[in-house]
Amino acid sequence: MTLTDPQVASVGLSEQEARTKGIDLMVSKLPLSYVPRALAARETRGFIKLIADRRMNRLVGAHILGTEAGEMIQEPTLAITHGIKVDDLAAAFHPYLTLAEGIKLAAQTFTKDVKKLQGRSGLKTWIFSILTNRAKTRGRRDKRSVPFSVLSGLDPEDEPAVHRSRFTSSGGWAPPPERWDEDTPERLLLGSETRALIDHAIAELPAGQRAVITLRDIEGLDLAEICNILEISGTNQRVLLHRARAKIRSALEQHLHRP
Amino acid sequence: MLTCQELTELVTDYLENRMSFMDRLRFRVHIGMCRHCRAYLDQMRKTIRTLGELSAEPIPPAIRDELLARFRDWKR
Ligand SMILES: [Zn+2]
Repeated sequence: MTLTDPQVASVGLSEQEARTKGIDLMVSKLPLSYVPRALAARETRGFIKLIADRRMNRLVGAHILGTEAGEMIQEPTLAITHGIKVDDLAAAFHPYLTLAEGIKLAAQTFTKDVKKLQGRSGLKTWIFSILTNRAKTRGRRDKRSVPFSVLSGLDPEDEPAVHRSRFTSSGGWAPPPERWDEDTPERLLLGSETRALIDHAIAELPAGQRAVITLRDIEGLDLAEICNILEISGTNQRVLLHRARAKIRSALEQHLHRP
Repeated sequence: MLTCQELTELVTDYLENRMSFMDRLRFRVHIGMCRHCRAYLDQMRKTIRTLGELSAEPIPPAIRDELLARFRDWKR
């Protein structure tokens, strides 16, 4: 590691060295301007470059230029030493809004072309997909990011808030919902099993619903902010939120009242 | 009068305060008379509370504001 500003930190092979060895390479280069923490700190000079052996699916080198490069290089160092698979690195839990998250994003960039995310809208999409995938990334593997186009689309076939079978033909409850104890949320969150159940229920939501419920109920953003970020109308947003919440409630109900 | 089934579709608008005065009134009248829908509304509030406590890693307010400011910048 070299103490310059920004710092330079390297571990393993350089791209050149790896090529000389005849390794079939994958190279991922992620500018720090794509890392939310760096963006938020206004320290976007630099990049993370990861070099991997395609066949082995293992990291062989990492080169970081950035203000905290010395800190960030620790994880790739471990990954190289212990032969951790690139996929595992890309899927492992990294706290959101840390520079360490940059390593994960760089590992994911092996399969996504960050250069295609050019310009403002690309950057926005990128950060947005990170935001909206948070619910899913807790202990789960990223499958896809969320294209914006999905968000405005409302599925007219989507089911009602409460299944029709719960009502009589005149629209009254049958059977009615049970009363939940005052400490129900706290009790639900005590068990890792229940947490996993909620995470799963969120992960199963269509992209738009997942985005809105994550931003609104988990992150606590204003409705107006969410409209801005997702570029959807207030009405669409409320429909998405409504359906998402109804599904989570229903999942909790099934869990709480299982025989 | 509003049916229970209709009410379940209005809960989000009610909780997010996006209802006309008259609709809100109708909603409240139903809730006042129907304990099942009161239970449903309460379940929904608790669901939202559960989700709110889910964030293991809350975004620090300063960073969140910064990100939001940037989202706004990108609009221009
Ligand atoms: Zn009712």
